[in-house]
Amino acid sequence: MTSKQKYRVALLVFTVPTLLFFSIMVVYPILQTFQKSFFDWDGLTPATFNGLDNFIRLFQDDDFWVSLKNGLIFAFVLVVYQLGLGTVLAIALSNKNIFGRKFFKTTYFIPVVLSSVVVSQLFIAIYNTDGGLVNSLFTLFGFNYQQAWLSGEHSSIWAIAFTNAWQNLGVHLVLIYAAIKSIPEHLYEAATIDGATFWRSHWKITIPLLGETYKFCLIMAITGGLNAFQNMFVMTNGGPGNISYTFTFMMYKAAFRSGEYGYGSAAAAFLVIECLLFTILINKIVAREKISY
Amino acid sequence: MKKMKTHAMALILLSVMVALSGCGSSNKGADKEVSGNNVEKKPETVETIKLKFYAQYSGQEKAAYDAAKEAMKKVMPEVEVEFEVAAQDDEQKIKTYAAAGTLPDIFFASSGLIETLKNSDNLLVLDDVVKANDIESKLNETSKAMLWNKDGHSYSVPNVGQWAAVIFFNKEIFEDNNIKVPANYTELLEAVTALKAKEITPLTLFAKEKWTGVQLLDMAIVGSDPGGLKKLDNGEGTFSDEAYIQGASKLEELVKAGLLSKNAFNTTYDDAVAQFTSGKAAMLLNGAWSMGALEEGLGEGKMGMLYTPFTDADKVDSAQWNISGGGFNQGFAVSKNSKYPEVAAKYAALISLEFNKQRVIQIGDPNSILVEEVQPTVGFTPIQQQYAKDAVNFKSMTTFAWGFENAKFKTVIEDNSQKLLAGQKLDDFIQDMNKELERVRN
Amino acid sequence: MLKRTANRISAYGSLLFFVLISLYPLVWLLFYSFKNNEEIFSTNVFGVPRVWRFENYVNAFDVFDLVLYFKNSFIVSIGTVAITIILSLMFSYAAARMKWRYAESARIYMTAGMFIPMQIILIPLLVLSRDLHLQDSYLAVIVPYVAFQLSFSTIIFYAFFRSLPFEIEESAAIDGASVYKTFFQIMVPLVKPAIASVCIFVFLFAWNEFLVALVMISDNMLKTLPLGLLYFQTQFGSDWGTMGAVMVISTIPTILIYLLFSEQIEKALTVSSAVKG
Repeated sequence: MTSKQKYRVALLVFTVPTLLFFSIMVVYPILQTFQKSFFDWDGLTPATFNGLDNFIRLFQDDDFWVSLKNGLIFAFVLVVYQLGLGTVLAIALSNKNIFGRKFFKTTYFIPVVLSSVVVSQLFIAIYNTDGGLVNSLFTLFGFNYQQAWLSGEHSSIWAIAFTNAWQNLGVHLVLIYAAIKSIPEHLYEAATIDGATFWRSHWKITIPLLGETYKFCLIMAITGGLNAFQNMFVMTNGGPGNISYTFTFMMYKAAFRSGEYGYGSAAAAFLVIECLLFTILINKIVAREKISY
Repeated sequence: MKKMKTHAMALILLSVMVALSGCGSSNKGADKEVSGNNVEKKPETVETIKLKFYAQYSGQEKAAYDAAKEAMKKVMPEVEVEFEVAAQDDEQKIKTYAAAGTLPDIFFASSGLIETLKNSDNLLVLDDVVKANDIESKLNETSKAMLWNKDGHSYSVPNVGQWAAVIFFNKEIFEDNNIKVPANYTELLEAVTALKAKEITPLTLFAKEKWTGVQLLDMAIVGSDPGGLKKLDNGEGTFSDEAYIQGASKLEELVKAGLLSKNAFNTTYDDAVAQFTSGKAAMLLNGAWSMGALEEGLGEGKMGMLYTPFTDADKVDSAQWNISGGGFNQGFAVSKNSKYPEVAAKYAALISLEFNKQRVIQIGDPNSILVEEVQPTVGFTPIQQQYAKDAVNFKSMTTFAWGFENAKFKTVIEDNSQKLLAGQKLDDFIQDMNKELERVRN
Repeated sequence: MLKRTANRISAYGSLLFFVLISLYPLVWLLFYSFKNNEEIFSTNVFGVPRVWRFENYVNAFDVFDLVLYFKNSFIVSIGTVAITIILSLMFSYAAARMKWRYAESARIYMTAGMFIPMQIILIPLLVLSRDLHLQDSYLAVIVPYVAFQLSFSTIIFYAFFRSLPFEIEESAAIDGASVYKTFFQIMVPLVKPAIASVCIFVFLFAWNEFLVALVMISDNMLKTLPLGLLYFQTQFGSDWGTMGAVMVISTIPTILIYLLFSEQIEKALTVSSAVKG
């Protein structure tokens, strides 16, 4: 075998198992979902082709617009909280003058380790209308601002999204922290980092160098937000009515509650396309070129 | 550098080994099962037939299942059932099994599920077994109807009786605060207002389970029309009919008066029970099946039941036994793809009756479906005796939400009733519902 | 000077505040595991249990086959981690470092798993696992778990492989090392921090996952911890205190795994930044 052939064989050995596995277990089922979105199908009896009917109904469905809005809000909350706060905390922890950095970093990751069911239960209690922590705090500080956080038309999705954002802050913190740590220190030597200029120099030096990491974090936060399901499932079950629906929830409702698998597939197909668009957009906007030090 | 290398290699090696041993042992498990089946074919011992049985095999009912299984060993010693614990998941798992063609041999099914699986030809018709074992003669009069589907066949032998949906109340709260226990709608509204003023939640509803909202609406409707929401499910009437407008507007008014906590939609059953038994909430809506457990939590003799508190004062006499709830045919059904259809069918039919008997004996179910008189080991509590007495008077029943046969209607009414309870305007609710009714009836 | 002290105080103040809100859930769960339903939901939601109900823990071991579920969860989680790491390491190496025409397209193709909620393909998955005879073995969950974690881990590994200087392979090639040798002996050790991070995330995912496990596993002997918790949920109400006890116990391994691997990450990071600096 020539070395070129050997290289080719190695390439196949490295890529084929993964690609094959992924194609069978992930891509093939997705394609099936796309296909079924053009059918009237209850998941059990034979399907009948109905063209674009599912999609036409989708755009006329109140659930669809609520889900679209909620998914975007969810993603927005994740991005602002996790990337924003994640960056601030990561920079603070990368400062060698801070004592006990390892302890801080380890503790901040603890919520990630918990099951989201546990965290959701806790937040149900925190948001409780009668004697929940949030409402009690408002009372404590003398505000008469009692809200039904999880049932209010305008607060529900924000409250649920915050739960998720809070729980997974540690993931983004760790990723951003690792990226900051891999920035060579001599870059900072020019700027003496102290007090007021500390944040400034990070703003100028660190953040521009985090492009690749941000891209990944953004994709993760946005697709995570658009796909959100588990928190709603535990906290509100999509309700009251449909106010905390997302596309995944809509799909779940159609497929498993009302036996409209084809229609659910249409919602799922739309979700996949939406995520794909965002991913492309992020790739276009956030600097693509590889940074070399 | 070198040290790092070895560490990483060791790490990977270790994980590969663990993974392989994991997969290896799992494959072994699978092999064993296959060879196990082969062994069964040999006539060295009595042939055992293994059946998978998907059921609510947990909590309080576990005792009844275990006792029933034990009793069945005498009747069909060749059968060995393995229970799979059913999830509280809106029948998602069992529907997924059906879609993938992997239904267990025997499973617990409500009429909604029976309707769905009947259409997709997943169910074994039990007519022959029912006749051969003379099941019908063992059921009491009210339960006979549950044996037969409206198409004339039997798909599951019932295993529990018909329960009414009721509103339980804490007698002490009403007495201590000098509030009259409501016997009609006017009094209910007064009671709600008075309780709210005392900062007691009038009614705790575990509306995270969406059926509870539907049941509340249904209760409000049966005061005017005994058909309730079941009638709409059957394709008759619209939400513009007098009874439905009245029912919905009563709920709208009650919600405004503070009937529910704003937290109702995040409330689970256990949460609601805790509110109720700790005295933070005065009333709780549920099926009558939970009376034993609730009374135990509140204290014997301290709990009462209301069936139709939404009825107008002038209609109470005629409508007081129009009951919400019941109406669903549920029991153990058999998969058409079972390897041992005859055995599974016979087992399912017989264990249904045995299970009901054991429910009475083990957990004091006052609502037997059998002709045979059975006494519970612990005796009935006052409220269970009360229910048994009232049940004789029941004139009509509607259904619980899982008894709706149109799954689309069920979903629509579940989501929309929540909106109404969250404060939606009556007109919007009725308009939405009528629009959706048109769609789901196609 | 004064300003500096004020800065420090506010810095530590906010850092400690985050410590508080990050640790509270753990404390809350611990309290929870000693309460009964009434305290959990109504009378004592946030505070210290009035009576420490150790029987919840006794129940967790008595009523509940904790050892079996633990074993199953371990096998599933470690199996998922191992296979995911091997597959995605090899693939990302090929995509990031080897020269072939479709490298970029293949990489993008592999990211698709990031935005597929698993709920939408449950039914096709179950059909697949039946057809491949995975049912009633640990592979019934390991296989879909790996499939869904591949995207995430591929992206991480790809980024790490890209950040390494290309001279490494060149010098290895001069030494006459084969592709495999370069990969296993030189490249893999260099991305150790990435491997540790992926281990943590994949393990956490597999350990806590519920929905796929619910649908794919029907054999009691194979059930993982989250499924085992179903025993406590019945239509007649659940024993939340005992569930809390099980959750406390099942959280311990995840914290240990995190501590173990984050130590690795930290060490490796310090090494690599020292090398670069």
